[in-house]
Amino acid sequence: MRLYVITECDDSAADRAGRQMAGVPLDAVIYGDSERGKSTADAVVKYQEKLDTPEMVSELCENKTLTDRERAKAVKEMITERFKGCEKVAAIMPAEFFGNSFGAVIMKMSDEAIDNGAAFGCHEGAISSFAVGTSAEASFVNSTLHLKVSDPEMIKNF
Amino acid sequence: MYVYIIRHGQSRGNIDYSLRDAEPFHPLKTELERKDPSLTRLGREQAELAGKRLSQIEFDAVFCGPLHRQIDTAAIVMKHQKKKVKIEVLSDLTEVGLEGYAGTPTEFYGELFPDVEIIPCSDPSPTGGPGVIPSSAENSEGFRLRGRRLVEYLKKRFSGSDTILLSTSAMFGGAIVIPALLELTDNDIDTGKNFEFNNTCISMVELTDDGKKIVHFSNDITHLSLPEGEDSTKYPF
Repeated sequence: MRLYVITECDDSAADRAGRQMAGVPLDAVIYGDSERGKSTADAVVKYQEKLDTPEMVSELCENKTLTDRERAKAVKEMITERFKGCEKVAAIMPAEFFGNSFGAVIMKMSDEAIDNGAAFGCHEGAISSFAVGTSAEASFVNSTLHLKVSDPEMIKNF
Repeated sequence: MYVYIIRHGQSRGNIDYSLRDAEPFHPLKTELERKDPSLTRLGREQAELAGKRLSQIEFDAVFCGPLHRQIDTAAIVMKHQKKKVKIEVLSDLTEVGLEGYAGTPTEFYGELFPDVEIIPCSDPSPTGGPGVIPSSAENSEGFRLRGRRLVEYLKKRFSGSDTILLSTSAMFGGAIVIPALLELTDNDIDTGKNFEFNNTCISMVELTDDGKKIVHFSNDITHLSLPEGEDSTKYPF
């Protein structure tokens, strides 16, 4: 299964991310309990033919009892189990959560490596793509071309 | 330290065998072309586009592996740099599976890469490794060793806001260099933490002086994806 991570962003960036993702037929778009997560997810779904609505998942919601890394592991487990058999899923999450926790966890980096400072950059509205399965593979990380083109109409699909 | 990593442009080895005859290569390399393929015309164009985009970055040092496609890509990128630095060849940046091969003979450098100054790899290499990776060294332990040796060398020589470019290949760059920069454990690397590298993709890892290792982006091919006529230098990293 291929997981696209789109980091929460303002409406303009979200629209651009949605346009960029329009050529990727997603099986689901998931988000947590933040307003920006919801609006980013809505913008992505808007450009999807098969989807009507994104889905809020509890694992992506604020959680005071878990550390960010524990929450990242819970999100990864949930995605792996729940979307088994799906081809393409997009997860919307805060940029810092992706950069400091989830990116390393989805790449199956050890706690030791993360404790030693391994992390990902975090740009709001960026898109990253990972293979989820036995191996850990990043197709690309923090793609931001869609945020930089002068006219959103110029955005090409993946 | 900011480490930019570029994969070489499309080489004759990256295209279907039946198409290779249509791609030119230098007569000097006739005997070596199979093991050490040249860039295709498209590969050279890709490297020009990457070089143009990278012209907004000023590199303090540029390193490449000893293979023709790796040196040529670095040389084309260097053409677009205002600050001219010598290209330093490091055996440790060679691709996996080419152990025992020293790379393009240094006596060909002047004719193949006339526009740049190149420091050939010494033996031992500046990283402390051998000038030619021995054929017996390249199991997973060998890959990790040269990845870590390379990173240790870079960390000794550069720090702070120093900015360097590594020109390498897909397997070594994506499966070894980035994991080594992230200081992943043996188990991490052996279980296949792989960053996909398309031809002339650009990736960047920041190593901070307080020990953080941040993959800012990987496999960026903006320079190949822009609408025709768009100036890639308007697209900051």
